[in-house]
Amino acid sequence: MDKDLLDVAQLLATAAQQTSPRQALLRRAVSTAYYAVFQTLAARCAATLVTYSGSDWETYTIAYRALDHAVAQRLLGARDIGTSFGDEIAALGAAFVRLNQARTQADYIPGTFPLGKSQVAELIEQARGACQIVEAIPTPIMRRLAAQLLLKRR
Amino acid sequence: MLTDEDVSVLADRILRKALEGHGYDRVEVRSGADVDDAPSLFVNAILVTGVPVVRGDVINSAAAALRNELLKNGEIRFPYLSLVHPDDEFPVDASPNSGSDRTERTNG
Repeated sequence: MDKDLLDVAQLLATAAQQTSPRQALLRRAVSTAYYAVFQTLAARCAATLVTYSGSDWETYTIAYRALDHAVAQRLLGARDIGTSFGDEIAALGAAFVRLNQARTQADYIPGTFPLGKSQVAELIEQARGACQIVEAIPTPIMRRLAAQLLLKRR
Repeated sequence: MLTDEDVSVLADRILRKALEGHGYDRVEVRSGADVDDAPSLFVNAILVTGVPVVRGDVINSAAAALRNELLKNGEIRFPYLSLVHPDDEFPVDASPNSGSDRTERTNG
């Protein structure tokens, strides 16, 4: 799990709680929470398909960087995600799509940020839950999921 | 495609069970488009005042159960589930009600 990023998201949200919340803090907290999930998923995909030990670090990095936001959103948000991968991955998918929507709002959409402190705190919680799901995916299922996420179909 | 009222009935049944013990009060549903312009459902689970932040695994399971139930009923639009705390605090450099219409386009 990318615990460091979750900690940073929590710090930003906590800073927003100690004073009157400011948009910039809440926006960065949401975006960071999403990236905690994205990077946890990228790391698990890469570690499942290639080793990350010793001289294979460069190979691991290639696999790590192969995860694409749109591809992940499309696969994890697909209608058949539950039947293909089970209830836990369906829960991961629901969280991933929600967080990706929220981070797009946070990162790219100007104007008033529509989320309050509690909603941001719950998005961080959703990210924490999603990271825990990613870490607990059994290897055979993770291998199938990683292949579909990282490898282009022909 | 279900109406917002149809979705509300289904969502209320699912969320009342999934969020039991977490202060669930009622649901509000609105059709719209997400930031990628995909037709979507915005499902707000309104909580009672004063409840603490809900655990992530509870929210994620509720969201997945909601998605699954909608799919069973032929509704393919993605439901964006948000928990709404009536006593939530919004940024001081923003007004609490002016953001959603800018970021989530509605159909009507």
